[in-house]
Amino acid sequence: MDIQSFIQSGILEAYVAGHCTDAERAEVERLANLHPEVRAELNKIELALEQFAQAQGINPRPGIKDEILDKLEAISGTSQKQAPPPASAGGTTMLRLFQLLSLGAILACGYFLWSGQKNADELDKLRKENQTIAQKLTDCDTRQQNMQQMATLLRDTDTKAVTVTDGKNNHITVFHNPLRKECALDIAGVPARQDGKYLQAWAIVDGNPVDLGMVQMNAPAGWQPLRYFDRATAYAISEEDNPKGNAKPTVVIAMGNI
Amino acid sequence: MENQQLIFRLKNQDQTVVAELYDAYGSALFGVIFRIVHSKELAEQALQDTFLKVWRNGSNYDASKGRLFTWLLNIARNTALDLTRSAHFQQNRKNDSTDQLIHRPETDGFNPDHLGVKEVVDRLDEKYRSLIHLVYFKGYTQEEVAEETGIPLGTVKTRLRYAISELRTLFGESVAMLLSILFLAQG
Repeated sequence: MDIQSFIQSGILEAYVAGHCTDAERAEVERLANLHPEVRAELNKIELALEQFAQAQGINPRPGIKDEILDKLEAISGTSQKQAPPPASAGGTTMLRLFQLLSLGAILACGYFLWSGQKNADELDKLRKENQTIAQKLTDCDTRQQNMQQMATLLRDTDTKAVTVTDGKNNHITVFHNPLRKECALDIAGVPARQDGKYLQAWAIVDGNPVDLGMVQMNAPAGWQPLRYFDRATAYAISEEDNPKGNAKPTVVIAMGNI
Repeated sequence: MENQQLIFRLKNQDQTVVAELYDAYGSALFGVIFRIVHSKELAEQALQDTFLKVWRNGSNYDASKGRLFTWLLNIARNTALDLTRSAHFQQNRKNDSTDQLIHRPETDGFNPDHLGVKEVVDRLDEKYRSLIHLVYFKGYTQEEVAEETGIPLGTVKTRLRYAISELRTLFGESVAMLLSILFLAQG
């Protein structure tokens, strides 16, 4: 297939507007996954619309935000009691597995109660196992989402790899995408820290260091999303004594210009 | 504003994310909604419903299929369109023609934060601006636009593509100009 003709056919504009048939949508998504230029074109269309909508924005009445947050608090207070938060679309299989495991655990609990056997310890054990499985599934789901999102970022031709280095052996990569307004740190390149020392990430914005948070060595799938700044000109890593980090970098150990 | 942490928090129904999304996109979404329902009262109702839906359905957002704003825009537009189908809206509906709806002067309440980019958008020909509004913000299909305006479908498709391309050029020029000014100021 001629990808340029596909891009110029107008189907991508219709896809972003949500006006494609199921077959067209599947085709756009398939080609976007195969061809970075299709993905980049989609992203540019969406970005142009986003900027257009922002430019045409109208400020709502000031009190609306608080009204929304109040409603949200009221709803979440009850909904959390009634039902657990829904699983992500990507975790449907895991949710089913979790539901089956939960059902199994409940049936087992019922059997123990009915048979009148000593079951308090068993129940407690099953509950704990259930919680452990649920936690593992949640972790898996988060890891999977993280990997999918990173794959999307890395596939994007507008993503730039910024090498943050100490000028010697340590080369840490930060992936920076000005169109997606996203950046992420590759934990794999981060050197092991010394005992009692902690690593903090920074963006250099308008010549000043801006805190991006502590480097999380155990970030899911080895990627740590960082806060994106349009005007960032460099990234840096500093070594700190405070596990929560500091307002200004104490010792900058690596830096790299975007 | 769009970043992975924000998306993670949205997908995990973190309540604090709604305030951040509102700050980032509230006025843009309100602009879209208002142009569909043409009533401040109804637009406020739709905006509230939109953010509640966003929070409830955050786990459904799939970053691999599009930008966060596009997803938010779809929810806002559908919420506003649903509202226009309600009995209450039908009773209060003014007899605006499509033309009036598209070309209504928009002077009040423009977000002052975006005055610079508004000027950029003003440079886009009105017929292209209207087309973007119809297709992306009001949910008209390209076929419906052709039917409504009497313009052939092929022309609608070409114009829409040109409109987006022009928008990209205009925003690109705006960014380039800003960078030049910054460069000159630093030099």
